[in-house]
Order: sequence, then C-alpha cells, then structure tokens
Amino acid sequence: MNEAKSETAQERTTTGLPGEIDDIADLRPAETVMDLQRLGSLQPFRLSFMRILVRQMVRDRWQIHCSQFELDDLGYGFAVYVLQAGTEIYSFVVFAVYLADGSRNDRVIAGQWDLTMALVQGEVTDSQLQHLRANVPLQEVGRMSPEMLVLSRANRSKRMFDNVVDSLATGLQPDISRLKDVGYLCRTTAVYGSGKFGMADWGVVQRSCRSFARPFAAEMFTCFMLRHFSVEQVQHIASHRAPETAVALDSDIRRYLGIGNATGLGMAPFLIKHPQLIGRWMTVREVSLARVLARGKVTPEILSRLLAMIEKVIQHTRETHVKDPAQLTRNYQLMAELTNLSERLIGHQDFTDWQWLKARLIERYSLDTIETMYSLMIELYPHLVDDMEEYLGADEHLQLRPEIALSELKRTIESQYDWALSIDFRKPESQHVFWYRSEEKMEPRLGERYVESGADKELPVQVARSVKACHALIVSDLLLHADSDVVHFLLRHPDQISIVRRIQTMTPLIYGDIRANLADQDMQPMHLLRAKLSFFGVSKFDPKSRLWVRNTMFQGAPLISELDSGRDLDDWYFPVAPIG
Amino acid sequence: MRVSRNELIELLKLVFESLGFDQGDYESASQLVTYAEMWGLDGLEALADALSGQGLQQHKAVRLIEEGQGSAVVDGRGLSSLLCLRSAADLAYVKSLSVPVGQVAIVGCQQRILVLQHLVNLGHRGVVCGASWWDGVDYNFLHLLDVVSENSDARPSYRVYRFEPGEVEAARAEQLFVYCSSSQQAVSDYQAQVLPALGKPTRKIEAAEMRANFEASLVAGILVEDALWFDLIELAAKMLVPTSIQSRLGAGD
Repeated sequence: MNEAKSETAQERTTTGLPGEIDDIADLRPAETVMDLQRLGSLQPFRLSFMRILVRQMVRDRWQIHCSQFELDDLGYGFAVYVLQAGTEIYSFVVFAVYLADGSRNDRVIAGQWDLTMALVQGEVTDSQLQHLRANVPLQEVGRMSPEMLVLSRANRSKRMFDNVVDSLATGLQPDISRLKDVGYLCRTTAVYGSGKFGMADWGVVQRSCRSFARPFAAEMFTCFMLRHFSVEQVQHIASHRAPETAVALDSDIRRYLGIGNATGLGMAPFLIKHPQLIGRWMTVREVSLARVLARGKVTPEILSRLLAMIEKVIQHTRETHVKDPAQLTRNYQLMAELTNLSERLIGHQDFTDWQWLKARLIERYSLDTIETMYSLMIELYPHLVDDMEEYLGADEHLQLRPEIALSELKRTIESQYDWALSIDFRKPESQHVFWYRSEEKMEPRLGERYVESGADKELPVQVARSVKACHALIVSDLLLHADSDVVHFLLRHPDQISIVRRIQTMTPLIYGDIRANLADQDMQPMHLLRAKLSFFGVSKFDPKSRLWVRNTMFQGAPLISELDSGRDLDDWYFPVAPIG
Repeated sequence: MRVSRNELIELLKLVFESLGFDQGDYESASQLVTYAEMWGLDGLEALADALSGQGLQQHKAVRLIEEGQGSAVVDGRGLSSLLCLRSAADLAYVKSLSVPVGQVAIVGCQQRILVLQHLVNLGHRGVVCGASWWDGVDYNFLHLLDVVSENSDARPSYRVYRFEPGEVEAARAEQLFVYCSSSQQAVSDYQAQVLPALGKPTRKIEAAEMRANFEASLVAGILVEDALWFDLIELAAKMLVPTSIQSRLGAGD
C-alpha cells in the first residue's frame, strides 16, 4: 500500500470517540491504516496497554506486598501477593510445581506447566485458596469462580532460568550477553480473562474493577506480577542452594528481565470478531499521531531527544535475536534505514515540522521504519496524547439499520468496501486457506482448503468474501425489488443478517475492518498477531513459524519497589540491555 | 454450575452453529437465550424446550404473508423464536416510522418468551416496544412484555394475566404480536385498544426486579443445570475439527 497515494481519501464520517475529540480530516485513511501489511509493521507506543498500566501503577501509587511465600528449597509451592490500588484490593496467586524438561510445551494444547496463576478480586480466604489450588493448575479443565479476573500459566526458559540460579548461587550476576539472547526467566503461554471458565465477565470487570477497567489491563497486570515472581523464585532457589554465597539480582538486571510470551493464531480471529474495539484502538493511535503532526513543535531539544530515541531503537533491534529470515531481513533494513534517517536529520535546515518528516518517510522508507518513527513521534508529546488512554475501550454492539433503502446499502458497500469487491474469489488461491477451531482446546488453526478436511466448520473470519456475496445478492434482489428497504431484503435473505449488521455498524466508523482476504494463499497471519501485540506493548518480536511468535513483555519496566519512588519511570520503551 | 455471560454466549453460538444456523442466526439466538435467562425469564428452559422440539430442525425462511402501511403478518412456519423472529422485530420498528404504532404478528412461533432481547435491543435504540401472546389449556393466559426506553437504556417488564374459558377471545395459539413506537403514550393507547380489560396479573416481574436479576446473573454467574451444560458442550463439539498431524501443522507445529 502506497501511503502517499491514499492520503487524500477521507470517506468515513466519525472516529466514534465521545464528543468528536479531533477533526477526522487529519487522520490517515482506512485504506492506509487497516492494510494488513501495515498492521504487521506496527510497533508498541506510549498508549500500548503495558505502558498505560505501568503509568497507572506509578501515578496511583499501587502498593504490592507478598502475604504468603510458601516455596520449598527447590522453589516449588505457592505464593500470594496482595495489591492495594486505591480502595481496591486484589490478590495474585501463583502455584509452582516440578516439571520435567521433556514435558515443557509452549503450545496452548499443553497440559502441564511450571507455573499456574490467577488474579482474584479481594484478599483470598483459606477456602478460596483451596479452590484455587484445586483448579488453577488444571487451567482450562478446572472451574473458576466469579471473583477471578485472570487465569494464566508459564514455563521456565530452560536457557535462562537455571543459568541465573547457578550464577546467583555462586555469588555472581548473570552474564549480560546471555540475558540479551533471551531477556526473561519465564514465558507465559496463555492468559485468559473475560469470563472464561466461570471467571468474572468483562462487563463486571469494566464496571466494578476501576483499576482494570481498560481492555486487557488485568491480563497485563498478571504478566507484570509473573515477572516479579519469577525473579523472586530464582533468588529464593539460589539462596537456599548456597546460603553462604548467594546474591540477589542487581536492580538493573531485574529491570531488564521481562516475561516471555508465546502467541499463536488465537489472536487472529479476535481481531475480526471485534471490529469496533480494533477500530477504536487504531483510532486512538491515529488521533495521537494526527495531533503530533499538527501541534507538535520541533525544537532543538525535541530533535536531540528524537535522535537519542532512534539510537535506542537501533540498539534494541540489534539486541533482538531472531532466526526467521524474513524478520531478520526486516530488522536489518529497519536498523539501516534508521541510521540513514538519523544522519539526514542531524542539522537538516528543512526539518522544522513533522509534516516535512512524514513526507520524507513516505517517500523513501519502508513500512517498518515509517511506523517505528510514528511510535517515537507520539512518545515525544505526552501532553498531546496521554488523555487518549481513556478511549481504548469500546461499546461493542453491532446494530442493524433496517429502515435504510437497499439501494443505499448497495452504494455504501461499493464506496466503503471497494477493497472487498475487488477480490476475485473464483481464483483457487483466493480461497486457499480456511480458519477453524481444533478439538484440542478449541485452538484456532489454519487449514488448506483443497487438501484438508474441516472446511465445513470454517470460522466466519472472511469478511471480504461475505461482503462480496452480499453485494451480489443485493444487486440481483434490486432487479426484482427496486424500492426495497434492508429489512425486507433480510426477510427474503435471512442468511445475510450478520454481514449486513456488520457493514451498517462499521460504515460510519473511520477504522475497523481489516482490509485483507484472510483466506488468500499469500496471507500472512503474523501481521495480525503483530498488530494486536503492538497494542499490548510487547517487544522482541520473534516469529518461530508462519503461525506463532515469541516476544517479550515488560522488559525494562520499573520494579514493584520503584512504583512509589516518585521518579519518572516512563522511559522503558524499546528496552536495551544494561551495561555489563 | 454457574457460568459467565460470555462463556454461555460463546458456547451457545457453537451449539446453534452445529444445528445448522447461519451466522446471523447463531449470533442472535445465543443472545436471546442468555439474556432471557439473565433477565429472569427462563431462557434456558425455553432452550431445552426448543432442543427437544421440532422448531430448530426446520431451518427455513419465514414468509411475509400480509403487509400494510403500519402492520404485517409473518408466517413463522412453526419455528422456534430463535429462528422465526429474525427480522420481525426490525420490521415492526420500520413500520413504526410511518404510523404511531407499528405492529407485526408472527403466526406459528415457538418459545415466544425469547422475543425479549429483540425488544431490549430496540429499546437501546430509543424505541418503546412490547410483545403479547396467548397460551394455556384450561385457562387463557395473556403474556405481556413491555420495554421502556430511557436515555438509551432499555427497561423490560413482564406480566401474565389469566382469563376464564370463554371470557375473552384469545388470539390463535403460537401467535406473537410485536409492536413499536417512538411514544410511550401511543403504545399505551394501542394496548388499551387491542387487549382485553386487564385485572390483577397472575405473574408480574417489574422492571426493577428484572434489572436486579440481570445484575445478579452478571456478577455471580448464570446458573445452568449440569446435565444441560454437558449436553450443550457435546453439541458444540460438533463444530470442532478432529486432531490430525495436518491440523497440528496448522497451528504452527
């Protein structure tokens, strides 16, 4: 997608934000923003969920203390941490068990884990703890209670965990160069919320848990606590193994340790199933960018900070170890382009506003560099963008407009979904893959339509195909019922209700539907994963196949002990290794 | 056992999909059942009734058999409300845009209590609406669902009245009337015109009580009989693709 080519188009009418916060004329068009390849180039930014959560923890001076730490010498047992967030109290409960190296599996279908954990509303009672002990280690097979907000599990990083314990036990800090390779002690493989397995419904969390009322805030906090526990666990094991010699981790190293995460295809259908929510996330990012472009002043100090940030991104990327050839090429290109850009910016007379830089970026640089620079530009102006963190949630309700003339719906589809109508679904390659749920923990998977069975149970993620089929039906229906409205069309064609409801809901919104054919032979599911993960705020994006990715959460984030230090701790974007 | 709203809706989607429902139908049907239960109107009992009857197997389109400016009659073809109300409530709304009260009668319609969430959805749009139907063997029972809309919030209430045999002329069995308006007064006038004189209801759930039921279900979870839950899981499993080496490759192995 050529961004410059599409800059003039501005067809949709509203951001969907309360009170029309900004003039939508300044926003990039949906054909640019919702292009799948561009979504696959997004980087975390200051309104990513982890960044917002940490700012909230610091701002509201969250107090976290350990109320029970019942681990044996080898680190097995359980621990309970209590969070006091204003008047609200929550408990993070984690169970640690022995797991043989051969039993460790990062896939969602695994049945055993080193660690299992839950986030619970209130302080846990003894009977609650008993219930948690009986059910949390079972994960999907267990039955949770409405006081629980999040259920998760994690495995040790074999490479790092034992190495760090060994180093600490002998009185040494771990080798920084090895830390750069991994960056975490434990890796979470699933984080469940939103009412799964009997836990609290999102409607309850949103209303009754002020601290976690933003999308995925409770899930992110659970990962933050896992990070804390993983450090406490290695220190505990080291100190019991060698009480005389063991040392604690240096705080710089503790800060550098994040939590690993393995993410597969489960995230992809989410993006299709929640177009209003995804549209809102994109709107928040784009409004932030538009504000910076329009109001951000380029001063010598800002330029100097920008250059330092670019340098940091280059180092961060250099420290990101990936084996996937395509990702490796992209990372090298990003570093080369950022180096080139940085050299051009130094002392450049014409760089007096962001529009100038934007034009140069579109003209000469790759999508990865463009979107990275936009993340950095947003980072520079907290006062222009931070209020947008309140708007990341969306009231998700697809609504039909049955009274609208069918001919108007046809015109709407032709103007707003022209990208879908342009796809030729008669070509076999346009229908090459299908998405389905496996009987193994209902894991979403991709199948090859002409080879595998299961296409009759296809997940409804093919918005483009449905839109095109609906349009064809409307065209033929109008020949017989020229004056029809939508409701009469639906009485004749009830199988079209879902797609019509979606089209009518999404049409007035500037962003929402991802503009891609998700059944195409060349479709890259990784782009979908990256888009969602960028909003989570993960770093070190490391594809392990076409279908799943490892990444790092909270690397560089402040420690629990630092939350009420009164210091500005919001500088942990694109984290780099401490100097060893 | 108690399950969350989200959990029940997601499971029911799979259940209805496994029964051959189209996407729009299974999305809608899962909500009709879940929300009827949450408001306190026995949505799960209606679901169990539907599952044991014929109204779900006959997957066919309803027919518009009569239509005027402000009213219409739809042949529900003996289907469950989960299927035959599809666009009927929306049609009543469209009718109400040109007359004070738009009305649609659906003939041949099972589990009519499940119309509730269609009405609540209209209420969220600012529409005042309601539904009525008759049933009973020894007596005639008139069921009334009313939805008042205030600031985009929909407040449903439910009443049932009993009449002696021969006391009133009841509408045909399995018939459901849905009516909409932009005016509360217009709906009251309409009810006074078409309904018999109403005495004391034999069953009454006020809007406040229904709201309290909803909130309690949301917070504490929805109570589902274990046997029904496991039946639903079994039905839902039909939409899952069996494991194979190939399918594991499709997850990135």
